[in-house]
Amino acid sequence: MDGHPSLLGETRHPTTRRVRQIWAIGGGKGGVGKSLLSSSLAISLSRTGHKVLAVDLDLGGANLHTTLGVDLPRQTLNDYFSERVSQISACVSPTSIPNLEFISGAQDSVSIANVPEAQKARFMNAIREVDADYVIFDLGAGTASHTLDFFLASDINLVTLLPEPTSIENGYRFLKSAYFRRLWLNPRLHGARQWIEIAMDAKNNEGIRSPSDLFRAATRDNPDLAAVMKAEIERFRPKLILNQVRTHSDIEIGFSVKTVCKKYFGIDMDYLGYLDYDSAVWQAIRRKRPVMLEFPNSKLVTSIDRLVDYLLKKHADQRSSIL
Amino acid sequence: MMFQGETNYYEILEIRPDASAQDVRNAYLRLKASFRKDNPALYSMLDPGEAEDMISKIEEAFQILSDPDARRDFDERNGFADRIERKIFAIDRAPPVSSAPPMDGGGDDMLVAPATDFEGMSTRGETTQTGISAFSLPTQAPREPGSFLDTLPKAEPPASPSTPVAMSSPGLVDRRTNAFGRREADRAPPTLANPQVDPVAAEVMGETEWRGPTLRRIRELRRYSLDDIASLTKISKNHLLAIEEEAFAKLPAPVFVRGFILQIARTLKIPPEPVAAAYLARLSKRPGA
Repeated sequence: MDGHPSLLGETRHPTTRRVRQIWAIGGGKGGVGKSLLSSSLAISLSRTGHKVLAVDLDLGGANLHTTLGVDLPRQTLNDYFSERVSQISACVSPTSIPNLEFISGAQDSVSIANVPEAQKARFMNAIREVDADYVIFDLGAGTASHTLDFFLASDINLVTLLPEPTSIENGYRFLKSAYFRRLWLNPRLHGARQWIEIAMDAKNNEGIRSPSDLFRAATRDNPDLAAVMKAEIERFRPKLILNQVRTHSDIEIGFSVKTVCKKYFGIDMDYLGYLDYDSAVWQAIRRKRPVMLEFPNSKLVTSIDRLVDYLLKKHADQRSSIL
Repeated sequence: MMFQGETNYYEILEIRPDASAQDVRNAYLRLKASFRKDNPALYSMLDPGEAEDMISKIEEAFQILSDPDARRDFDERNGFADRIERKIFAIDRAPPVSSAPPMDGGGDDMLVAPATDFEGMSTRGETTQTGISAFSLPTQAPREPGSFLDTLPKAEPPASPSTPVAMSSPGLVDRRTNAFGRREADRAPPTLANPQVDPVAAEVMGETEWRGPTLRRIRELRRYSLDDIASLTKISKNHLLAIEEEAFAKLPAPVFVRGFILQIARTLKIPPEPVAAAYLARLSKRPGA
């Protein structure tokens, strides 16, 4: 057994761990609202009385601290990944918000932009035991393997997109990378790794471009394995949040993305909803204050609160699909 | 391009075998819109040829499933007839949604319970074994916008009693939708509770006059501000206002007005030609024309 256990640190099931759930916010492109959404979800969640830890995993360009309205702390994840500090708790900083603490990403080191396997496992193992009910991962842009792994190792996989081609393109790329990575990591699919690796290489000569090509090749090769693959694919349930929506047709893009994902990847994406474009956001950012605190009456805040309620009510039992 | 080689018409339309005629139609309209080649959601995933293939599959599926005889025939040949009976059997576990309040009837989340049970049921494999996705998919785009999570997938009007189980899941979402508190102001008129895929469809049904105020109402239903329309159509706000208020004196020559109306109608997704013809007919009768 390799793959999952190494990524997750150990095989102990998360239900026995201190942290109830990890929510990850990804989306491929920069500037689509990942940090804003992460900090807002964290603040909203902390107000429901749960103890929350927000973790900035944007290791190249950390700015979660800014959206939370706090200064960059001395200890960051960089110190943890480079083993300058041994305990993850040493990286935890307080915020001005009750029930909310955070861990800053490494802003100072370029070398850390690729986290060694052993450090990923060490981190994932430790993060499930921090003194918090919920952990929020603010992921970086791009499809670095650690970004994909932290996304996949989380219990709730949120993807945020803007209704514009650049964001949609990167969003699909992110989903595609996470999707193949997820299959690749699965020990039960080791027999299909060769095919998965071919599919991951976009320029391969085997004519395997899309998941359906991969699935067809796997079916031809080994039908039993293909059945496992199908079951694994169906367990992957990323959740879509459309951000900066301005018109009615923007909203519908979310439904189309869901349909495309179903047809292309064979996955059922949950379209959770959308956030209206709101000028309160940039105003708050300029003031380096969380929009949740700066504009408590904005529609955005209500929307975020609803999103949190919804996830707590409907997806409280969801576990990372790579477990 | 479809994920699995062999599929059936229900999978193509992302509906369940016990979907009502209205479900079929709604799914058809939604999917056709999804694969329209200018839809940004296709970008980088599907090339225009693939999108066209999808559209023709969707058309074919709709042609069969929208014809009761052809559909019955298809169900029998593909073993769907049995499945539909099994669904009815499941009613006691998932009360029909018709017993639930209509979608605009308030946002009590407690009401979600029966449908949640349904969801759990389908997860346990009731439908997976049939090869249909375990979770029913959204059969419809949101009929009215509002705040976040007004647009949960599967948004669907209350069920007709004829297909209790299939409808209960979409119904669930409608009530969830309310649970997320659609603001009163955002609520569309009661006509929207009709099973229409498009919020505007009910509104414009039988409309022949296409007066300015009607255009305004449709615009508001579509949740566009005048500024939105102005930026989408490049028509000045003053002209848009004059069109909606039928302040004909403030409008340019009819040939321009016709162009405006065509653009507005396209943006509002209402039939451009009839709208322009009716509006221009009234314009030509104005005093002093």
